Amino acid sequence: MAATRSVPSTTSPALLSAPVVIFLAAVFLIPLGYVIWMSVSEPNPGLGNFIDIFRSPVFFQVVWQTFKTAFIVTVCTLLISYPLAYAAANGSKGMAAFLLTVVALSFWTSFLVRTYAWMVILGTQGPVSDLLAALGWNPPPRILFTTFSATLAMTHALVPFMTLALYAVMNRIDRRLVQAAANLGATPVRAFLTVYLPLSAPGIVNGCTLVFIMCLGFYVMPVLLGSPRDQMIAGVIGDQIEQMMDFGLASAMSIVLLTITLTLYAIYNHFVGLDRLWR
Amino acid sequence: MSWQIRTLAVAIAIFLAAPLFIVIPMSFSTAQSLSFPPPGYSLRNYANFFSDPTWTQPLINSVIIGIGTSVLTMLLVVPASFAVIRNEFRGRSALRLLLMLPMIVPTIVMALGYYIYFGDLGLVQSYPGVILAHTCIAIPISFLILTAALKGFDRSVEQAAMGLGATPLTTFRLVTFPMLRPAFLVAALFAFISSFDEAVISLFISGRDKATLPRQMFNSFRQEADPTISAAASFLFLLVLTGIVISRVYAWLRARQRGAAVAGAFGDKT
Amino acid sequence: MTARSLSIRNVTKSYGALQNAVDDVTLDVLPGEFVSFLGPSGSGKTTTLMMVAGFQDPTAGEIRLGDRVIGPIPPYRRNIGMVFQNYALFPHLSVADNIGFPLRMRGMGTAEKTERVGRALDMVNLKGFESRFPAELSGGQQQRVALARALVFEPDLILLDEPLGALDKNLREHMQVELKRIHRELGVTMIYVTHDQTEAMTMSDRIAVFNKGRIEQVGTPTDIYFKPQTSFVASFIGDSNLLSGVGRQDGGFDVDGIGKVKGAEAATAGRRQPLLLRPEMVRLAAKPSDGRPPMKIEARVNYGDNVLLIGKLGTAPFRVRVPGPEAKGLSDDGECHVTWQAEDVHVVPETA
Repeated sequence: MAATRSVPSTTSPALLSAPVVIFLAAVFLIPLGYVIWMSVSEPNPGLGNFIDIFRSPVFFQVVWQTFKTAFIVTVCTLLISYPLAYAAANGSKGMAAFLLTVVALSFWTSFLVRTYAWMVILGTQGPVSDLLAALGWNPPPRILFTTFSATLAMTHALVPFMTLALYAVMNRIDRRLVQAAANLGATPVRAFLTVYLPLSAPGIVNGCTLVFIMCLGFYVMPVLLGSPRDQMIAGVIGDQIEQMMDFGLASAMSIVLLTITLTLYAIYNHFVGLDRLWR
Repeated sequence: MSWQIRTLAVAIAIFLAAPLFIVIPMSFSTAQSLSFPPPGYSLRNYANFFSDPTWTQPLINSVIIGIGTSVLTMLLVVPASFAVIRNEFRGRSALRLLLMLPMIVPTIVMALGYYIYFGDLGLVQSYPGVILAHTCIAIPISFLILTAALKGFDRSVEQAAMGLGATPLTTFRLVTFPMLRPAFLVAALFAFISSFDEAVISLFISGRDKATLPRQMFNSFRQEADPTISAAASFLFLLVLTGIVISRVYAWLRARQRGAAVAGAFGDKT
Repeated sequence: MTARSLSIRNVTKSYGALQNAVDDVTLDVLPGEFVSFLGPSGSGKTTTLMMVAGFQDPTAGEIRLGDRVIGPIPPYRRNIGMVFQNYALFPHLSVADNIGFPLRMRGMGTAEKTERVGRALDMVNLKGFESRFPAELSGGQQQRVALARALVFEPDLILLDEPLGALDKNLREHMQVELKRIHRELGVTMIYVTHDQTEAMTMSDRIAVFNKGRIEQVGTPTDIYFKPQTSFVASFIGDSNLLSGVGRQDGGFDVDGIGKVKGAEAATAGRRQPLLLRPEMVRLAAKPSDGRPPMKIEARVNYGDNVLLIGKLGTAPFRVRVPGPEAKGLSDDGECHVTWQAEDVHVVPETA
């Protein structure tokens, strides 16, 4: 029913949305435009930066490393989050409350707090090293500042996102469907594989898309916890800005990262629809 | 649900939470380095955190910037979300997309853009500059929260109010806004937190005197091994922990009070 | 409370699509009357109500309250009470504040407000509930608060949009009685939208039967039940046998497979019309009468105090409802003879 006379649809939508549009145009679109502009004008006009990038084996190495890491993080996050979301959606109220509180706690904790925590835990004087030494591995190998430590930290940080994406879908799955499957002769494992898992698939797609794309652009954790030799793309861009001061190159790399990100979103949007990602 | 899954879930939950809790004992450590378990305990790090200007100033900066971001974001997003949810107009989906864009674009790209653009405008190393940039980041999240709340808002209460004699403005003031207040608060809170936690952009544009807390922590990681950082980390973590505990307890208390009242209500005839 | 009349004249609501939501509806409601809008979902009854309330604008036509044309008047100045299907109580206000809201809008002072709110609560039997909040109330209690809120400011007209839909059967029947009592005590004009015919039949002074955006018939429950003007109304209300008969010269009808049937109204020769015979008006007979074939019984449903026989009379589907004791005499061969009075056969003024 379209109620025609209600508040405040009496105010023109153009007027209501003008402030934010103007703001975003000035504070978002223009800086973005700068980056695009700089990529083809610094230090010299033309596509020189892009040519340099695409001719550089190092850059491809970085892109490959970024994708690889993002992929591993996505898979690990999915494997860890699925049981968590499942238990929250199908468990008792107390169990769900406990799990979701822990997820909330993890979700809201700042990246920097996490980084510090991992530095302590994985450091040479931390509990993991102590444990390994006690098990006979002396001196214990260095774990911090490796790709492994960065991957671990990113996975740990993204679990809440994946869990919430999965939970949102799982919570709507009618529990009686699995019961019906059992009644019709399916063992618990088969019922899960043929009924529940397919029904949770939209959540899996949402979660993986979200986590993968977020991981591509990660800066803080890979830089602080990762190996300086195996950098991810955001860190490399940061270097170009801070140390090399080569804004043209940094911009060009940013454009590449942006294009990849937008393409992935576009693919997702085509198959699923962007608004499903953030319900 | 089998006990195996239950145990697995709890184990994962512990894996999720435990590493974070480690910052608390570390903050009381007497050691200069990151050794765990701590050799001794003292409040020195906290004393330093709350007195050394290298830390107190960024903390204050972060709070000021966070509040500024929150206010500006709400002013921009509230009218826009009403426009999007309550009106059909051409360009509505384009508007939605525009408001989501800052979430889609990687932060490092924006940081680069701001570095140059704000540099040209002289906005680097200033409160307004960071507030503007952080507002951009906060807009998508607050927009999502507000539109979700508006979508689920049953407009028959507004119709009822008008039928009872309230003008559209009075209806908004006395009915719509109070009912939406929780969502408004959450949106404002999220805006504040996303600003407070934001590291990448702050790193590049907040400068030394207007450094935010995340920027200070980031540099501290990379440069010196200042143990005060443990107090900073612990402080942030305890803030989140307290917030979550309070909200859960509040929700639990409300549910109990509600349940008791309903039970009482069914005591009489209908 | 001064009750006012409501006049709906040729009101149409069109959304541009193929069929109008409300199509040329005309209805006059007398002051103090209780009129039900009855019909299936999508029949236009709620849309019409919304236009009276002011939340939708008619595409054409005029609505008057008393002698005022209310079209240009916005909803917050129409002084019409409304009870919504989901009650629409303000969750952040107490019961007293909810009920006092319209009084506050009219600038009433605290003392008088409290007194009026108290009286309204009294009227709906919720004394003492002033400081409770909607979330703490049961469905029935919320409904009564919504009602109190709609009448506390003594409106000229009260609209109710399927207010009892969410309640369970016992509660609904109880509330129907309550609503009628309040209507009697206050004497206010009431318009009641429902799809439940029993509700409409038991509560209304008159019923307006809606179908596909139009009013098929307006009349007292008795008229609607015993003298439906269209076959839709005949079959929508109550249980019915609709026979199809061609008019004869002598004023009776020829019904296929059954023979000659006389109706309460005279036939027009050669015109085919639906004939309504309510199942409870049919009686079992020991022997055939008027040359009619026996009824073939296909199913029996035992309701305890009455038995419904479902089957065929001639080629037409036929239902008979007899009191329990009478059904005992039925033979087992699946057939019985039936008889009825001519004046119980109503000729529907339609050409079939």
